[in-house]
Amino acid sequence: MSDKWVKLAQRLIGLTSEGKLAWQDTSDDDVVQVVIGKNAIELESSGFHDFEIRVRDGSGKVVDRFSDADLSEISNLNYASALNSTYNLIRRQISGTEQVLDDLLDELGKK
Amino acid sequence: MLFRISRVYLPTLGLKALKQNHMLEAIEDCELISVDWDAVFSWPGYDFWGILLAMVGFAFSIAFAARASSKASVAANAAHAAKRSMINADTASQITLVQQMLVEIRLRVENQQWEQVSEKCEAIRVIVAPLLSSGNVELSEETEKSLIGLQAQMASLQKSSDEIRHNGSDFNLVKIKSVLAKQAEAVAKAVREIKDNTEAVQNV
Repeated sequence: MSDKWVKLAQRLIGLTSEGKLAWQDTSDDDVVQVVIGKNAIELESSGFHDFEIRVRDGSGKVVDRFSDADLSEISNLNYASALNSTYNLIRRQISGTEQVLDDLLDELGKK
Repeated sequence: MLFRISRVYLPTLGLKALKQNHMLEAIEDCELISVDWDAVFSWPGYDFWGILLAMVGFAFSIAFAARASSKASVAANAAHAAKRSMINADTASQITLVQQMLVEIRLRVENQQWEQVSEKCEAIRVIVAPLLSSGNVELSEETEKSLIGLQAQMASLQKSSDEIRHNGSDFNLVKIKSVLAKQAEAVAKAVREIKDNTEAVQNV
């Protein structure tokens, strides 16, 4: 199971940086969510460099959860920093900042 | 006996002897064309006629079965369409109920009635879960994804409501309302899709 946590986190980080996941805001200020297949994943930022990833099934029930500390313990790598960057990127994607910057760069590239 | 046979054959030969009172001549003529029934039965034989009769019967039974099968197929398709139409109508009514509940949640949030918010979130999850898991409901991938997202959002809002209620946690009213508005939009789209599907099934 723990190997799957690492794989899942790595895929989330990778696909988010490629802009391939449609993250959404939630009612909680510190939680973002993405639907993948028939399930959903939540990423919660609780304090400085403290992250929790929750897996929800189709009914919305939390079926699994793990933190950056769990990932670091399993892999001997510091996941807090990577998840922090990912979380910030997600926030920028949701707010549209990334899109605005992309549009600006496209326009400037034409000049 | 001979006379009876001749009466059968007379009209086909065009003889008008009977009308002209030449009965005897007519009967003599008829003797010439009287049927040798023994010959009929001896060639090609009873087997031939039996097989021919069986084949004709078989052909009729095949035609009858094909017709019956076609009718059964049409009836089965109609029954299937009726069932699908009923499922779609039921799904549409369930999702419409969810739509109404989202409106109620929004009002409860504005009034900060967190217990009711939590209850309604749970109620929505209970309604939507079987729609996603039953496999009877035909939903597009996009709608299915929207409903899974709704489930996760409702679970998250339920958790937030419980925390606000029990721990007095901070909350962002604008954000909660924004999330609810997005979910209402997704649900409205799902209702439209299911209603369109129902109409399409009824028109088939």
